[in-house]
Amino acid sequence: MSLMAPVASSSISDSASLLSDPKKEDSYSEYQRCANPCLPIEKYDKEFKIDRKTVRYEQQYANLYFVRLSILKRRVEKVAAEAWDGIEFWSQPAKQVDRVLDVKQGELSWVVGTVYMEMPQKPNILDEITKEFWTVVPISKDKFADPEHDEITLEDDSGRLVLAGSVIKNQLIVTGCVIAVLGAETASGEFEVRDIIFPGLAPQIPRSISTSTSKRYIALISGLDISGSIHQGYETSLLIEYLMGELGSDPSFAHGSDIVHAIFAGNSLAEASESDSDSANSLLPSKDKKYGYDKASYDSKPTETLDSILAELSMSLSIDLMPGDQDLTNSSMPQQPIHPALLPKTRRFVKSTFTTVTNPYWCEVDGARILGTGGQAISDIYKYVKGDDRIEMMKSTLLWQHCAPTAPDTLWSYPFQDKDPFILDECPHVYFAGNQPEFATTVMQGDDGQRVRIIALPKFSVTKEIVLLDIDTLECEVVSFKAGV
Amino acid sequence: MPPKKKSTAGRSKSIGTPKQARLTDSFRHTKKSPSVGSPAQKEASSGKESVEDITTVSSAELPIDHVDLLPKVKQAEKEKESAITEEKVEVEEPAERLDYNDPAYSTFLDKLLENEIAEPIHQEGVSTVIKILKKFDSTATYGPSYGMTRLQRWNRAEKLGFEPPPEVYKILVSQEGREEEELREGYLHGQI
Repeated sequence: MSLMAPVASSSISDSASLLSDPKKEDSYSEYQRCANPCLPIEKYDKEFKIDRKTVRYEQQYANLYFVRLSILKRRVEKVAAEAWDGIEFWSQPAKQVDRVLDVKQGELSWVVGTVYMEMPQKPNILDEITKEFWTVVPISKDKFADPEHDEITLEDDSGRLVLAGSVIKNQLIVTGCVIAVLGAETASGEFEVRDIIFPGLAPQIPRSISTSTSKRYIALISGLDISGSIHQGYETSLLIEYLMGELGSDPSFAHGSDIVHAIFAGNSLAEASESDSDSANSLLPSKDKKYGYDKASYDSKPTETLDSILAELSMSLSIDLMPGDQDLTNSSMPQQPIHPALLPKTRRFVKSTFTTVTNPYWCEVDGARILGTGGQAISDIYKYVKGDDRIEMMKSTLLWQHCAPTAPDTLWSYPFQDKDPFILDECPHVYFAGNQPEFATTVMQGDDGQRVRIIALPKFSVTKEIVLLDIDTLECEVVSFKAGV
Repeated sequence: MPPKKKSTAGRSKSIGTPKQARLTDSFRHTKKSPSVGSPAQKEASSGKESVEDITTVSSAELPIDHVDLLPKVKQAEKEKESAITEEKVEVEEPAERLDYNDPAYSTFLDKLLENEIAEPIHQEGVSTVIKILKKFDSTATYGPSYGMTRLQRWNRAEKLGFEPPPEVYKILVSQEGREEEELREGYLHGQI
């Protein structure tokens, strides 16, 4: 794209040329963006998209847990058998027990099952019904975790087994992950855990070393939180100008033109709220109900603003728009792509530079397979465990081979009957989760030579930061738009 | 029963509307698609009925100034008709009839009952085929049985690698296995 404003450094020294028309002899460097190499992976796209013609909500969630246990049990069994076969504790060999309820008292054995955490502070529908006549308002807490009263159980199609011991209490574990535990049943009926094994990192498709000479980046932006109000900070405009190449001078143009793709990882729209009293809509009488909705409480500004921003960006940069928990799509996982009809100006760019995609989202760029989520699964896991190490939680989801284990317990999910699309059959090369409190990144190594770059994307509206991912080396850098640093 | 309700609603619509032959009504006819969920044969017959009603309406009662629309409407109907007949042909591929007295089923049932602790009680009038299907429903290895047809559950068990018995598949794929609700749906269907 060519520069519009004549702010080339060469002409600043010549004071006569300031505020005059650009001279024909002056040459300005032109920067081109190369074509977008990032494409969604068809196989996973089909898995996450729910066909509206055959959708049914009458099924029960037991099917989802059954499929999850059936698939992951085999994988854990293999890993556990390798690790524990022939092991001896208390002069007993460890034996595998098929069903969770078949463990015998005093015998060292290992068993596979789904974890279920019994938490008194977790919102419980039965409590809501029994407390109907009480006036006590429950204080909403950040976390459900209550280490003294929480019970960790292992569940199977036969029943539940209560797990005890410090090993399991200190482990980062949530409802819905499939694990193998080694130990023995105590006199009180609880299973004292000696060791835990997860399915481990899934096999990774090897990536060929890329031969491109130029640097290429993918911009990962999350938590844009556009509300369209006049009080919205100017950082969003700065971001757009930076991506369009209208900001800064020559070096930053070169850097900006290396960005070939942008992924908006969730929460591009701000949380829905009543419109401000200083907006123009408050002039209308509140009883004016045109087109069936009350104009005083409905505001179309957020989507209009987002639409103009995306339409402008789509002219020079290819975009993938992922939904988050505040966006206009279904709130249960897997979230369906935001319908382009909501963004009329950007709709023109569908099938060329603009794509609305599901949450979670798998894409591939030059052999590097990227898995991205809007961050709801990680924020949900945060409620179950103590501490705030988001990278630890993301590492755990990779080890559990499941990107949203708390679905459908506390994370809303579609009741799948014959598949669980959140199970990770392969390990991605890059794994990012949006809407996290701060930026964090690490590289995780697996036993079979897997390498994953894990990125926790910060919320742009709070931290004013975006992440640039280098396609060839898979390294990240943060671009900050904060004023007054 | 839900499937029956859907198909009668479809039929009454097609009989009710041909009274007014206006432009907007003929659009409404062509846009209507067969309901999902009713058995394939009932679906095909009700769809065909409505198409026949449309052709009689459009040729006889439409005013002259709608002549331009007529070829397009007729073409859309023809395409729909051919699509429906194609569907019908697929379904009518001979599904085998179920042999209730096949000795293979009784030997299979004996094998299943070998592992049982107690004798089955109050099962004098129940046929072998139904006993096999109920045993299939209550086998925990294949997962929850409520909310899906037995064939769907069999396919899911196969996909997950549990090797469900081929005898059960043969029963479910036969003509009676597809048509009769007692064989097609799980034993809890309609009760919860």
